[in-house]
Amino acid sequence: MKRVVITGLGVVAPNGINIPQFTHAIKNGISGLHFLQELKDGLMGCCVAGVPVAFDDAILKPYLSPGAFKSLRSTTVKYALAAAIEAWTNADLSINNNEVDYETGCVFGNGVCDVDHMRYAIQFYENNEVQKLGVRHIEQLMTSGASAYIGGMFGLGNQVTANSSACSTGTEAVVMAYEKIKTGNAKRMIAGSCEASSKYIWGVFDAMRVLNRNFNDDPKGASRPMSVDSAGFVHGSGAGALILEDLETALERNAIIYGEIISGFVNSGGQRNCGSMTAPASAGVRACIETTIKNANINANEIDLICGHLTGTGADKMEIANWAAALNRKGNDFPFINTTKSLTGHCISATGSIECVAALLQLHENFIQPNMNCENIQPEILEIINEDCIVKKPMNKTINTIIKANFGFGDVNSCVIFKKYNQ
Amino acid sequence: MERAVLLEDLKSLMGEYMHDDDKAKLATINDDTDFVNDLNMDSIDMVDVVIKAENKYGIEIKNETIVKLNTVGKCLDVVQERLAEKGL
Repeated sequence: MKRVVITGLGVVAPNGINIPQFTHAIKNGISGLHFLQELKDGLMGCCVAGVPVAFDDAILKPYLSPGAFKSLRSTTVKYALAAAIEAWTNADLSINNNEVDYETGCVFGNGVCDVDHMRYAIQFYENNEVQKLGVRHIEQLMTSGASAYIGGMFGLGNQVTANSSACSTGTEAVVMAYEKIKTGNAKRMIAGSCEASSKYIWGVFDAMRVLNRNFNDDPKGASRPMSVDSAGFVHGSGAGALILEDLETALERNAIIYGEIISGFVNSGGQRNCGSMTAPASAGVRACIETTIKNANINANEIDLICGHLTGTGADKMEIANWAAALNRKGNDFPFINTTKSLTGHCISATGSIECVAALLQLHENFIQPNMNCENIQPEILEIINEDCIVKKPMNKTINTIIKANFGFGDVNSCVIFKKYNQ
Repeated sequence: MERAVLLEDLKSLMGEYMHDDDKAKLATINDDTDFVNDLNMDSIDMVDVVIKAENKYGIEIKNETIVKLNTVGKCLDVVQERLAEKGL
């Protein structure tokens, strides 16, 4: 089996549209959440969202044909391309316009296409003008749109595909890419995921009464994982991208190594035993975490930091209980735990990849990103773990091993362990 | 309609889909100029150009014809034919 390392990172997040900005934001607890008048005008209960407002399409122009650039509407594809380009260049890889790279592939997932773009297309049909729509829409609306654009941009000749598992999508993409390299079926993979900025998607969640409606006048305080007054999550959007390589290939070209993946696992709770379409079954979550640790051949005591899912809903306390049970660690023995969601909102299908990027930045730069908006922790959580485990201020700390997990609608789970690279 | 006028219209429509470095080639295109091989255009974008021409002139070009329009000359021929059918 091949050892798999990460050699490149890219991100478009609400609180940073590239790695330097994002690193600064998570190190210093800078939020990317904003009040959006259009959501109020749309009679949304939650009028706060995380949008990469500084994102400028112009950064994509040098990489696309004029026709493709002119026709680009989907934020799903835009964010994915920007993150993938940054990860590729961050890994010090060049774009070869003439040859196919059969050793490199891509798993880039998403959940729902950019519904604003879909609405644009639908309006042509509704107005009896479908023949005037033009040609470059399905390539942006199909689930594999982002991966297809990325594959073409870099001339990828290995597997190029899109996975989709709701909020588990991003971390699942990393695990899929890891397995591809580990088994020797690819030397390099781009793994990532993306989520559109679309009020129509946010409206669907708002109608489910799962978004926090209580902080429209304090948007930066609206996403409150683990807090006693959390009342739902806040929608975010963006993309994260990682370059995974087999260790030999990375060493041959003297690549910077952000960390090593020593295990990854994906499963489902089967929507049984209290699991459902929207609620994870604890047994499935615990099995996913336990299997990931077992496959890593490490002891749970070696884990320094949990980068959790922790959305700011009523499920946070159950997640903490599941981590404690799976690691068999509680109280003062529990590792540090954090989530980027207080700063980014919940970026749904992009959340896993953005949070994997955040985890690797913490691993590589030796810091723990603070959890914001959790001055008062839920008492049920404090019955399980010591409050000091929940880092609330930026902390410089050498981190050797991080476990990262995400859980998605459909009762699906994904988990990965990143370790500092040692020869 | 004059072929020279149609050619200028076509150049205008094509320009939006061409790399800046390739736009100078528009000055010297002729009937044999191939959209993909000579002008470095994406074949899917040529369908967009045809749709815009359809809308501009109020004509309709059959799908099976569109896929054969790989050169400037073929494109102008078809547009002229459709316009002639309309008496233009």
